[in-house]
Order: sequence, then structure tokens, then C-alpha cells
Amino acid sequence: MKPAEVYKLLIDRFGEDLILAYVETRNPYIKINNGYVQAICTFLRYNPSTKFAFLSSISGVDYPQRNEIDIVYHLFSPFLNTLCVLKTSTPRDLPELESLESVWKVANWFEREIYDLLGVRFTGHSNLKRILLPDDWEGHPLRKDYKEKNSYHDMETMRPDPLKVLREKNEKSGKSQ
Amino acid sequence: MKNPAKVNEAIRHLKPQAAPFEEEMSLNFGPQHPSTHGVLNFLVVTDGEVMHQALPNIGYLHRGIEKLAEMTPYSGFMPYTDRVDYLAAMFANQVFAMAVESLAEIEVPKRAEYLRVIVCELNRIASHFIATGALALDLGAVTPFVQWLREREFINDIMEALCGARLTYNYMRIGGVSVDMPGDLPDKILRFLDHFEPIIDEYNRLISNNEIFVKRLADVAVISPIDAVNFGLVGPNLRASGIGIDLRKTLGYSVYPDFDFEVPLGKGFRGALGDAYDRYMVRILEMTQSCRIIRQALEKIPGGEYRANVKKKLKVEENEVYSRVESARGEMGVYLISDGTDRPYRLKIKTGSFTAMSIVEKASQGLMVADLIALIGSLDVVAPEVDR
Repeated sequence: MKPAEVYKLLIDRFGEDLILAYVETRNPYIKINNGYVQAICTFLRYNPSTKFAFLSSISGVDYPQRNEIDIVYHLFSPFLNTLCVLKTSTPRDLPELESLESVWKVANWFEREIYDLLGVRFTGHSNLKRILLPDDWEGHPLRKDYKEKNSYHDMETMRPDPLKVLREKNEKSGKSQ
Repeated sequence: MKNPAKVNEAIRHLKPQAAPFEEEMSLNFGPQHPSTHGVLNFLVVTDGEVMHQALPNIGYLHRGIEKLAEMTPYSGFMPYTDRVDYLAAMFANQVFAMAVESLAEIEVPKRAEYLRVIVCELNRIASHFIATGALALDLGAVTPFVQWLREREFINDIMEALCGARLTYNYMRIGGVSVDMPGDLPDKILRFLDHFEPIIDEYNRLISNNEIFVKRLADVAVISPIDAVNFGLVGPNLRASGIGIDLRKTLGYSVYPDFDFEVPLGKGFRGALGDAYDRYMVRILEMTQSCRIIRQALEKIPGGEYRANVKKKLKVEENEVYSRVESARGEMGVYLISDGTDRPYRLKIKTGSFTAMSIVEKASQGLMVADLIALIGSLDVVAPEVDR
């Protein structure tokens, strides 16, 4: 079953309000309505003709120009040997989506990572905390407009340019000699 | 031990004063601990020898490689991929190169694909040395680890002769590999294989069939096939639970369809299906298969170019791809979005260790504290790959 056929199957089941578009890229993706992620994924996972048993990854992509964050789900079905890419977007100011934890347990950590690095909230998540960064970190680094603070707990986050340091050191020692 | 609060409540009711495990304590395991395979921290919740749960706390090695990718030109990003998983750097090299090649529609010469397969399989053996050796080391057997390190030295020497680096290779390029192999290298590799294959048997006699070792691993931390799929386990960990998914076979990427090899599955060698011993044994069996692939590749390798003509300042049209390879720790994926400039718009690296780490929370429930080490060791988690 090709991704285009998965799209047809989804359109027949959910209609055009939920399944928005089919976009041809290297790995074609299916754009879906952001309110029905859980229902669509549950269908794809348990439907005997698709059996997308594996959630390969969830990624988040920031698009400041259109003020949206895209969340991309990569589903893999070893039975069909097909990769299904679902994409949905959520507003950048108040990013919120359904958690997929009830469909795949592995979504727990993927979603925590996205919450950590992009600030997307997942409703129904059991433990939505930062995972890679410290709990008291400010900001979400993978957003395009993220600027790192100069210090964290009085520790400098920027190191001086080593070449500059070396040059200054050489100059100093040259003067003293 | 399913619900300690309830158990405690019941006991308190019976014996109001002295409940031996009334107090639950939280212990820190790591981050500086020799058995955690890198900088990891577990919060072990226990009231004695039996754990209620171990909660992994990761992020100590987070370097923001995905953010760095957005600032680095395509060709300049290759050395960063080495650092994703330093025990099996070739796979990260390959998956990134494959993603960019797919987007830029670059055709890789056959010889380069064969070279990639050879170095990847050598790297897989080297990585499994550390996985299986360190597992034995963590359980208290020092000799096997040292013996595997000795064998790994041969592979490091081969890699050094090939690309000058022993660990972070930076060998692959977009469109091929950086250098062709020197004329005497095939002989060197074959000599290593001839020497190494009998050693697997020796190793099995030394440790795999060792009664104490088997008892420490068999029936410990059993992961059922359903859990393995649900928690997104990949690679040897998944196959140890009896699910035969190997991307080399299912996807048949690169030139893997040319080779004849088997995919070892766990079948409850000494205990239940999907226990720590199965995860260990699958890796040992995979080494033999890797040897088979290398021999065939050396036999069949065609001549010709080893790198396609690729512009130094590569610009990639707007597009996206999710490419995957079977790394030593299972499926490794790169999700790459290009926007027409010379650097990625977004690059996400999906690794096997990340998902393997997430199962610790579930699999550690009701384990002995000492068996936590067997669980982590058998999952073959590498900290930099978890944190990226």
C-alpha cells in the first residue's frame, strides 16, 4: 500500500474536514486537522488493512512566517513496508495538541522532547516536563527566534573566542618581554 | 509490589508500629557511575532490595546537535553526526548522507555503497563488542571486556588505515566516501575476520555459557513483544523480543539486497523470550552475520568512482525526507527539511537509544536493584545518542 492509498483510505473514513491535503515530497505527507490526531492515529494503528504498529518519530518544526508550529508523525508499518507521514499544525502563540500516549507509549518521551525544545503542550500527557534541558531553563531552543541568555545560574553560556584569547595572550607576553 | 502505597497501607493497618518497609526512599544512581554507560541519572524508588521504579533523568550530554544543523552548511555537518553515537559513528554518517543525497538527487557510485556497507558492518561489530563486553563488565566479569577491547583494537587499526580516525570517523561524504580504501586493506580485513570468527566460540565458552552470567541475565527484565512495539524499541532489542524487523531486510537500503545474511531473533535461549540474555545473545549472533556480509562485500566490490561529483556549496531545493538505517542500536532516522539554501531548515535525528531509555521506567518495576544494571546494559543505551 502506497502513501497515496493510505490517503484515499483516510479520506473515505474521515472526510475532507479532517484529512486536509496530500502533498508530494520525497516522503509524501498527509496534512490532517489538528483536533483529531488521536482518532486518526488509532485508526491507522489498529485497522487490519494498514497496521501501522510503529511510531517511528515525532518531530516539531517552527514556522515563524506563518506563525505556526508543524508537528510531524512518522508511522511505520512493517506489514505493508510503508512509511506514513502525518503532518498537522498548531498556532505558535498557544501550541496545543492531543497526546498520543494512549496509542503508543513511546509518544510519551517524543512529546516531552517537543514540549522541551519547542514549547508545544500535549493535552492528556501523563508527565509533561522538560526532558533534555534543566527544569528551570527559559525558552525553547528549537524555535527560530530563540536567543540564548548570557548566563545560566551565574555560569557564562558563551565562551570567549579562543583565537582572540590567544592573540591577547601573545601580545601581553610580547610586551612584558 | 505493583502499588506500594496500597501494600504499605494494608500493613500499617495490621501492625501499627513496625512495618519493615514502611518508608520508601529515593536513591540517586549516577550521573557519575561506571555502569550507566555515559552520563545518566536514575532516581531509584525503593524500600529495600526490590525497586518500585527507576526513573531515568537524561539530558546531561545534550549538545543541541539539531540546532547546530540549522546553522551549518550540509557538507560541514558530517563531523557533528559522528558525535551523535561515538561507538557507531558510521551509521550516523550514512543516514545523514543518505538524507541529503535523496533530497539533492545525487546518485552514489556502486563502489562507494559497498565501501559504506563494509565500514558499517565493521563498526557494528566494534559497537557490539562494547555492548556485550560492558554488560559482562557491569555484572562483574572483567576479562571478557578486556578481550573484546583487544579485538576492537584491530577494527580501530583498520579504520585508522582507511580514514585516519579511530572513533569519530567522518569518513562518508555527501555522494560517496572521502577516500578509497588502500590496496592492502581488503587483505587486512580478511585476516581480521579469519582471526576473529573462531574467537566468537572462544568467547561463548568463556562467558556466554558461564553459569553465573546466565543466571544473572536469564528471565531478568523480560520485555514482551507487545511492550517492545508499544515503547518503540528498535534493532537488537526489538528482535530479542521475537519481532523480526531489520531495516537492512525490510527497506533494503544501500546495497544490502545483494547480500545473503540472516537476522538473528530472540527465542528464549536460556529463559523467557525477550529477557536480558536474549538481548545479549542476539548481539553475539549478529556479529557472525556481519562477518558474512563483509566477506561477500569484499568479494563483490566493483571498481570505479568512490564519490559522485557534488558541488562544494550544495544548495537543496525545498523538499523533505525521512531516511532511516539499521544502526548498531537499531533504527536511526534523519528527518530533513530543506528550504533552498545551503543549510537545513530543520534536521531531526531519531535514535534507538532514546526509545530504549523510555522503557526503563516500565521494565524496572519490581526488579532487584542489582538487576537494573543488567537491564541498562542489555538495552545497550549510549548516553550521547539519547541526549544528542
